[in-house]
Amino acid sequence: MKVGYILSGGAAVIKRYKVGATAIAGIPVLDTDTTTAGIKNATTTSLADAVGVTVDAATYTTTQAADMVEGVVSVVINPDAVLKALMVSAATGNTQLNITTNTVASAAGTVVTITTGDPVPNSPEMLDGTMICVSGANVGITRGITTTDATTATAVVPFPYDLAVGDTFVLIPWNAPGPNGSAMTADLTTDLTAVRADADAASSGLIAVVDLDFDRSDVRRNSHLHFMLKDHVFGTNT
Amino acid sequence: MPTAVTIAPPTRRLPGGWVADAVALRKCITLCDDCDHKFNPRKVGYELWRRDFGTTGPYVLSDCWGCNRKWVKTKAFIHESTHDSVGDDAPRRGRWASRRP
Repeated sequence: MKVGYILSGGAAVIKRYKVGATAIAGIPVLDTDTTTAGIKNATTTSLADAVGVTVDAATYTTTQAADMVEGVVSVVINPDAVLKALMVSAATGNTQLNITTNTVASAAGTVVTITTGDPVPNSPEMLDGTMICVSGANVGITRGITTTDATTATAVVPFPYDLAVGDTFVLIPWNAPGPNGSAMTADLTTDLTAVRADADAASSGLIAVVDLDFDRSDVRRNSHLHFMLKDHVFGTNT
Repeated sequence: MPTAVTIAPPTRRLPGGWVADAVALRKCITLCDDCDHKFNPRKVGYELWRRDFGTTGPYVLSDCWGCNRKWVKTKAFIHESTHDSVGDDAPRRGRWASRRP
């Protein structure tokens, strides 16, 4: 993930912090635990007490040597930094987003019924998420998901055209800015650089979704989530 | 091999040597507007760091690796190996179109 922009329109603030674990560029980092050497990496399911996002890498070492290099990493620490992360559908790699193929025509243009084997709309829960039509009469058009069950995802605002059998959709668990009062969450891939659209959000890191960035020419492979770290040590720290 | 890197530049080192240490480590280098013209990023495989949208100019708030002052008009340079991780996605034109392998 990378810093897309600063919400206030200001400049990024880059600080250098000692690391308590080896860090790579483009990952969120969290505050220092007591009795540890420095900041730590986020985890796939936690963004609690975030410090920011790294813009270079650092190697953590406790081995004394005359030519040793202390692990120090550069971090963009703005609490209103809007991060841009690729949306993927697996724990590792840049796996393309899952596809859902409609099996029941919807003349009202509201109900997408999955094909057996497609991801189940309510596990992981896609309620209050977004679906975008990838093929069919509504290609490129998005709708908020307002109801889900084991086989269907429903939008209260209909697509402009009927949903036909065989139309395909991508469902993601986020919308912008998200439901008021209940924070959106995200799981990260194991390398902490992308967000998982296929994950159960129950124990995930708190985020505030700013925007959904669908690449309409390649929705599954090149769509990004714009979000802020909601639990930030220099912002609203919980 | 670079010598010890700490948050503050080490004593008894010329600023240029300190920046060269950071280049060897492929660190993000921040330089103030008095120092940045002494650094040729293309020569050492670096590029100016821009936020992905690039809408508010190249400046960041940080401390200068050259003269160590904290400054609001500091430019950040990233190693090209980290471009895909933290650099902007804007298409390159002109002489910026080609990047080193």
